[in-house]
Amino acid sequence: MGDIGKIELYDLGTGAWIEASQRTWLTITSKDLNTLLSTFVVMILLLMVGWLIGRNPRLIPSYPQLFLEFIIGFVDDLCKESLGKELGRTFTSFIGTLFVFLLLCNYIGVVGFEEPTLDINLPLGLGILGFGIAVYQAMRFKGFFGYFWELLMEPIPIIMFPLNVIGELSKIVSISFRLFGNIMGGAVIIQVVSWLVGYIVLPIGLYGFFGIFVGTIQAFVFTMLTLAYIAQGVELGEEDEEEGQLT
Amino acid sequence: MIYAEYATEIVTGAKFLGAGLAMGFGAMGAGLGTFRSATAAVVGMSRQPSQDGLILRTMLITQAVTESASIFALVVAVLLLFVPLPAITEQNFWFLASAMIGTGLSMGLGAIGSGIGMGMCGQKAVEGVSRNPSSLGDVQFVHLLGSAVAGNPAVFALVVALLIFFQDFSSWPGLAKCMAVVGAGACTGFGAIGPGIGCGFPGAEACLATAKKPQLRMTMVRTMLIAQAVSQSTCVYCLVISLLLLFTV
Repeated sequence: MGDIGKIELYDLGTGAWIEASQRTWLTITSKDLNTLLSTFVVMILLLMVGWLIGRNPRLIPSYPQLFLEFIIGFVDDLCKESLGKELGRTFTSFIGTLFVFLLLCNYIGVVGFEEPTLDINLPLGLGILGFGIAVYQAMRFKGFFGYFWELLMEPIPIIMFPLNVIGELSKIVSISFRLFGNIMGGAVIIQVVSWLVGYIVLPIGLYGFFGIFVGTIQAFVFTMLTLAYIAQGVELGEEDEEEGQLT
Repeated sequence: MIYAEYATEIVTGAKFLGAGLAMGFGAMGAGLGTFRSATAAVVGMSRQPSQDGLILRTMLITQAVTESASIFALVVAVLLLFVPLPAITEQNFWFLASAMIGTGLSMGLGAIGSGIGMGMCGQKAVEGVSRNPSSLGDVQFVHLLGSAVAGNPAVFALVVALLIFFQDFSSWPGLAKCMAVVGAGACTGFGAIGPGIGCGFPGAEACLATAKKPQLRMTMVRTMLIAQAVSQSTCVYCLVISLLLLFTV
């Protein structure tokens, strides 16, 4: 039980494991290495699946192709619904990739790798990426200065500016730490309960709950919040608005 | 330093106190939240006995989501109990002790509001599904988003707790810093209660409204997110004050 949060340090300059006091800017931790390893496993898995199933699509789909088409159609519908028809289609690939990547990142803990989402750097990086895209889209619609004008003048001119900026930036904190906190919560509970029952039977059920179930929900929430942040800065045309209400 | 001969006892005691505060307060929110979905499920089953399997499944999902705030509290409590502390010296033990209490206060109090808020979302989601079982997918979509945003205050509390816990404890920063650390924990902790409960209301009503008119779910989600962002801003102010206390004092 004593080894929660215990981290070993490896120095790239000297090429040896070192103590915490000898830390330099070239030092990486064992956690970084684990994260890198499992991220690459996830990426290779995704590329393999995409290549194997997508290399010759048929008009009458096989079962794996049907499954992929189901996921793509689901994400495509969500994007079109919240961003409008034209813009939504351009975001399908990004949102879909984000969702599938996070899903596999959360699942991979079940088969013995360390979840990449257990490291705050991955959720934080993806959060900053999504936020950057949301700001870029908002600037495209409102103009570069229009975006800052809205931050400056609403709801009370000038006084609220710092708080507006912090409110925008807190989106990154909340979205990434939610994913990180939930996955880390699952990992800690699994470790504690496994230790209490002596690694007999019960951890399997916990892996099912925290790895599969909570992992799915949190990956979905992260993706949908990114989409919602992007959609907040985009003004839908009248056609899309009406269509959304009719269908 | 005063009481230097009891340094280890003081830090260990503060660690246990912090773990107790974190889990004790943190369990309140989930307790007050999860019963709501169960209530709604009982009422819904009496209304539509043929859909009891569907209602039960929705209830379990909403309860699992509601408990995430308390899971954060459990994580912090376990961190406090089991993570090895930095070396306790005669210089830093009061600082370490106050940081342990601050960590516990922040996460424990911060989990209360979010638990209740997410429970509200779950209640109305179950109610909506029991009124209109065909809207299950749409209601779950809105419920997941709504309760995720209602859980934000607990996430901020977790962030502050981790920042307090993983500080640099190597030197004596003065009594003011010790108090600032406890203050930072209390600030985000108390500040998260109101917004957590408040964010539950728009989420809950959006779930019910989606059950009534599933085709309007995107309009509901958009309005809900804006409303929740505004009611959450007070919690963000608390986060700012906590960060100021942690890094500038």
